[in-house]
Amino acid sequence: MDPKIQKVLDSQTRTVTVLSCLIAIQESFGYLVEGAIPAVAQRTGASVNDVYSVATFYTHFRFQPPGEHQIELCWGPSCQIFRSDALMKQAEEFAGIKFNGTTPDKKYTLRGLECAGACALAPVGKLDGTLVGRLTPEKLRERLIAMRQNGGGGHHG
Amino acid sequence: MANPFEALREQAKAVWAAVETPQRPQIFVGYGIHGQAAGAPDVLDALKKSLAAEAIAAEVHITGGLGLDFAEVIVSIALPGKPRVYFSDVTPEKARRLVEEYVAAGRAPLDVTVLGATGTLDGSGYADLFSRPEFKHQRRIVTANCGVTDPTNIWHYIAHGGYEALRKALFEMQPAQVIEQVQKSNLRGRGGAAFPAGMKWKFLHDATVSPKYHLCNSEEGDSGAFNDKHLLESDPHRVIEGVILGGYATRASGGKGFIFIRVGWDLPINRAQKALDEAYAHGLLGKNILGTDFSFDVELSLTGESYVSGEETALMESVEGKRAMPRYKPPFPAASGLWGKPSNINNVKTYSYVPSIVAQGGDWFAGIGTQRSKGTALVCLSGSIAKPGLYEVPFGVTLRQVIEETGGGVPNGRPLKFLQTGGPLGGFLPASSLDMPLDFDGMVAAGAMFGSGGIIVGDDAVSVPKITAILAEFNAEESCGKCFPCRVGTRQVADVLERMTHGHGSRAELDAVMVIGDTMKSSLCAHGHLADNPIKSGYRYFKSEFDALLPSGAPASAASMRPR
Ligand SMILES: Cc1cc2nc3c(=O)[nH]c(=O)nc-3n(C[C@H](O)[C@H](O)[C@H](O)COP(=O)(O)O)c2cc1C
Repeated sequence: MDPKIQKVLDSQTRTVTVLSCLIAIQESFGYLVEGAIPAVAQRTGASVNDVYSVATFYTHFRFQPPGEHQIELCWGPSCQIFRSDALMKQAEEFAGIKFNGTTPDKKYTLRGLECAGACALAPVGKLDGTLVGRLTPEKLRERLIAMRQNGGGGHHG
Repeated sequence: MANPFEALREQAKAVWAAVETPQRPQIFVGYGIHGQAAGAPDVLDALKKSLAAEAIAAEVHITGGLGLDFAEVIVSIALPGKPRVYFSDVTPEKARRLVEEYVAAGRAPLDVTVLGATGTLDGSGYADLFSRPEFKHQRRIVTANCGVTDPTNIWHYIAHGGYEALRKALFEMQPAQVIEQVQKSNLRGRGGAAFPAGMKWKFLHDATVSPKYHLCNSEEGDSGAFNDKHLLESDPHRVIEGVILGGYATRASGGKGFIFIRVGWDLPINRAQKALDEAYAHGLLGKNILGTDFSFDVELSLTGESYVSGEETALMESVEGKRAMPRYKPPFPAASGLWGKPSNINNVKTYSYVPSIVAQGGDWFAGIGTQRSKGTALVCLSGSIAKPGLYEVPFGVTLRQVIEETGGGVPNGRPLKFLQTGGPLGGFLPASSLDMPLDFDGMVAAGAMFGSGGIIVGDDAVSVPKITAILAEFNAEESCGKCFPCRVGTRQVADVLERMTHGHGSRAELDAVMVIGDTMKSSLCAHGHLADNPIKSGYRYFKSEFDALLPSGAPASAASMRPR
């Protein structure tokens, strides 16, 4: 087992399950790195097949590294009432990709959220993990430019 | 033997006294999810920098949300000898001026809005915060501490009566007596199905296998609902105390509770973890709680993104680390649940009421609310509403009192069109339902449901078919795929609505959707049973809007398909 993966799996403080291991790996590396699936199988005694079945069920798991910057826009009904589609368009233009994708240069990942839990300040987005409420296309653009200038973001979503 | 709780209570009193009648300025920043989205991190930063620049020795605390989410970032300040004044819409710039002008010189800047104040108000010139119209119909039981105390400080909780119910149960009550109070209270589950909590607890109490588990469901995948996260980030100890009481009442000594929440919700997760750590450190969790022979653990259990993982049997699969797909029932969880052991599942809110019920008695709780819906409801208002936020009102208040008198009604003089309640499996209510009292059963009879408490308000510019299509798409995306009728049916419903809202619908398809809804009732869980609620209730109350989208009806313009 890759010692870096091993270390992550061994430093879990809560009940260890297939799911907890996958979550721990994605939290540490930003995605399910190569070797993650067999490592989790080995650690938990589950079959590789079972580990895959869990990793492909929960929609936040990814097998590719995310972009350097995370642009996440809430797609829940409250946010859509406040025109999150216009925000999405703005973000798509800014990053030059479509909704739910990563730019080829791995700079940006653009994703919709089902509900960001801040419906009272709709429309809401999460930019490099920072929640921002009452977005307008202009405010989003300003934030995105600031984000670009700030360099590397986190891979937490 | 002196009760070890006495010492905790004394220390808590001292800690809170220093906050309430302070020697040094006390500053509180509203830092729940809404505070965060409004910029609380930057405000906190600005406050600390200004205090340092002015060389003022003040204590800075964070709080969760007061519920007035529209007014975030809310900063409250208690200067020595003065009441605690709540300021709204604070920006980093305003934070700096609050320090320079109010904290340093006692003059509140005129352009920073004051919401009100608490404490000794005589002669202060400030009105009581809780005399505001948003509080008129509220009765804050589980949210009493929210926005007031620091969720990362166990002493604040204990100073407000926290863990008194646990002490009382452990030292003065038998488990069966605790259950008796919960049954008397008529507390019904707040996660959607409104099942009597006391009855479920009784099943688990009577189970003879150990260990026993308690699962505190904070998955809260419903769009438009944020009250579970609100409780965890604003007053996590209350949730924890409720779960421990559940453990005691059901004779689960040596067992364990899991607080189940989706990965990524950092505020509620981190605060709940901090609170657990503190509870362990003070002997309120773990082996021999408060020196008694009752032992109980509570752990956070993180799940991945999956709406169905909030369904009670799917939740158990998820805690076990598997795909979150529902199990067959029977066996019911109280007989065979998590890892095949007796288990109980309740929503966060349900557990959170229990400390108050134990402290004040089941009869007290049963005296609040309607005939069959007891206690309070945590309503999350969003959409076309003047004061979006979270309000705790007793059941029985009318929707009008909630929407208009508490939430300030629809802004910009537009008429109210609909209320979408209960999340993606809930339904629509028309404007004419405003005089309906808040009540689990009354709302189900009307085709909607109270569900987890989210109410999305729509004005006349919002298209009901479009919102229906959004909810149908959610339900299709989130079907776990286990049961064929739900897996295929939710997709068909979503596709038909998608076509309709783009002008390509047909009467035959719309009719078919209604039949598909019936076939989905054969699914294992309520995701399939209820997935047609939005279209059924939407069509019931806004038929003409759907019909207008059909080719035979009046042609709809592309613009009107938009939510706005
Ligand atoms: C698809 C689906 C999702 C659900 N999600 C949640 C949830 O996020 N939180 C919750 O408390 N209950 C949820 N429920 C309801 C649970 O199955 C269960 O009834 C509830 O957690 C029991 O707690 P209560 O009796 O305190 O309400 C969901 C049900 C279904 C069918």
